[in-house]
Amino acid sequence: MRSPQSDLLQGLSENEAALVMATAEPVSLATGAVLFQLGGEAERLYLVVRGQIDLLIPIRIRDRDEDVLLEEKRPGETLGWSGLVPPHRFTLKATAPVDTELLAFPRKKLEELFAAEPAIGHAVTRNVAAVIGHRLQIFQAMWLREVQRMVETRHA
Amino acid sequence: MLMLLTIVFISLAAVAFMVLVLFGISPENQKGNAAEARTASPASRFFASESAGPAPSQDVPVEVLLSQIQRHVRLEKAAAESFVQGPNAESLRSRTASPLAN
Repeated sequence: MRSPQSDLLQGLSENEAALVMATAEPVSLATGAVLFQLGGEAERLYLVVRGQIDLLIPIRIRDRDEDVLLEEKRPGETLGWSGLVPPHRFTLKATAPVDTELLAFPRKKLEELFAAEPAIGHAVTRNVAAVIGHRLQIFQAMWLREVQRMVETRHA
Repeated sequence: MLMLLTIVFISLAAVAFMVLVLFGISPENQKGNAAEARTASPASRFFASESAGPAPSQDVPVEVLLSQIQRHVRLEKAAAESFVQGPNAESLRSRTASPLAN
């Protein structure tokens, strides 16, 4: 089941990766199914094995809540890091635009593994930190661009 | 005599009219008008700045607006990716082709 390009397992040996994979549970989603809702309780980290997951943000247009695509997660990519980061609530909505297979890593099992194997915990949390850090950098840049545009519009 | 009085009356009326016209555009009045314009303009500018851009028309279908928002997010995200790859102040000010940002 291991995806050789998996961003979650970077830096792990075959044996270490196998220990991480042993904590995973397979999840199958039909086209259009919702993996998680914004604000939902986050108990698991996910890795896309096949298909695609769309990460969406709700935008209200004339009293209608519409989903706007923010990010696409493809095979080998990790999502649902809120499962490892307090307060363990998802900040986006995730759906499957096509039939999709994932691996779900329950937080409790991962924490037990990390406690028993700190080197694995270090590598996996570093990989998850890279995913979180990239999101932070992108959103920070988008926000800075928005502020710059607001200044130019209102105080030119 | 009557003709003379008529001419004098018309001349006086013309002078009075000219005085009124000139008084109406005197520097003092111009200052007054400018002051009124100044007091009025901040309000206009304030309301203009509240809506940063043209108000969205109710005629535009939600699907079209959604498509524009989707495109805006995609373009802005690409611009943000570019900034993250090589951070510099100029790329924060770069404009995309998004109609929502122009």
